[in-house]
Amino acid sequence: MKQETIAVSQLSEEEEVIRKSVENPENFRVLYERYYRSIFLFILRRVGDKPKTADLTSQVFFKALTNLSRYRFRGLPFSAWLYRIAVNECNDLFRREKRERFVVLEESAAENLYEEMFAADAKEELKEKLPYALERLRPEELQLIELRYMENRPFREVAAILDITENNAKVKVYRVLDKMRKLLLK
Amino acid sequence: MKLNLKIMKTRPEVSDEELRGYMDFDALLERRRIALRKTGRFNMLRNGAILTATVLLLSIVWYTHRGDPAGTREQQTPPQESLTTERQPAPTPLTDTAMVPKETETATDANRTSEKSTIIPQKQETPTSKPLDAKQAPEPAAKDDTGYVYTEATPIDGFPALYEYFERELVYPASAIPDSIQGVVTVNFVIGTTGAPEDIRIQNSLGPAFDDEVNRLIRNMPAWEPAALNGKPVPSKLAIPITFRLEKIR
Repeated sequence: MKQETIAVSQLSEEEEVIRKSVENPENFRVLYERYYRSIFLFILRRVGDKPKTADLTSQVFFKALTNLSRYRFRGLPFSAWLYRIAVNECNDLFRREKRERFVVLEESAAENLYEEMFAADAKEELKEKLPYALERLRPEELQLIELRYMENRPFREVAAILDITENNAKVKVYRVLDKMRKLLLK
Repeated sequence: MKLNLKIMKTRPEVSDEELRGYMDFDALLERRRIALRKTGRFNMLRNGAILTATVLLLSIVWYTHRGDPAGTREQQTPPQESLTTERQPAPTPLTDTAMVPKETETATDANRTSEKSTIIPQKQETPTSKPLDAKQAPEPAAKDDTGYVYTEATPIDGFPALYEYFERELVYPASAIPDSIQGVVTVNFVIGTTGAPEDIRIQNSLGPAFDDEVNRLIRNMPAWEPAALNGKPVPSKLAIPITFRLEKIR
């Protein structure tokens, strides 16, 4: 998958743009153009419906723009903050509307996840049961697994998006894996 | 409980053209601008009536008070009167629904919706004024048997202009949008002999951002004609409730 790795120089450029945007929101356009696609896709993978996704995406940028003065630069790309807003917007949507929650489970992700849980002793039929296990997670547990394994984000970013510490993110992810393992072996 | 999951084998994609169709930064800017703009509404008629009633009550209170120099009999009445009149406007934003679009939702709902939530701070004000100096007798522009003539403090351009100023200038603090704070801030101040507001005090605060906004509003409001006793300006105290509220549009 395409990771957003950005250079240190870009980080400080972003910081500068954000500062300017607080003074004049017009300056925010650069960041809007830069991250619109990734935020859109991020939401689309969960919501699965483009018009709804466009709605939520504009809401994410709206919230980001109106709260820009509260943004604190912590050495992470600005996108981490946008993703956090996006996660919250999606959660709100699922809580508000009884709609289907989409999740992308690519072959490679299933592989990763499976290896993480069962080391080498491959049992193909268990892998088939992955969707079964995912369905039985709580929404916040699924979020963790999705960010870490389906979207291959480093723990540091998972933590930033969910507003928890990196260690806490690791602990939580491994607990969820444990829960899934039990579900699969049941 | 089982999640209502739909598993996709491949990542959804979106073409550049499609994305361009959804992107609209200018609309975002516009939305932000609307969100930060307040639209105030108030019921002039009601305000006028309350104001008149207040002035009348205060003058009656003052009149009886004057007739009793020891002040024992009526001492408690003035605070009571001012309390009731000052409190009165607080619930009005709620009863004012005829003027407010129905879509107003609870704060959390408005915040959660993906739809636009526009911030419409509203204010209603009924200044309650009473003379500061008890030795000088107030009687709204009327002469009583002792020969005192008291005139209330009034904005030089009149109350409608003052309300218009509040409506125009009141800005809902952007920092409070995510928390969707709504409520009434009562501000007490004194119109000094020069006609400028002094001693601005926030009575029931909604938070520092709101206090700052109300302070700014009162400090910069149009000049007042100070209250006068026998044509001589005297300081007078006023209380104005300012309502901040959020309103959802669309």
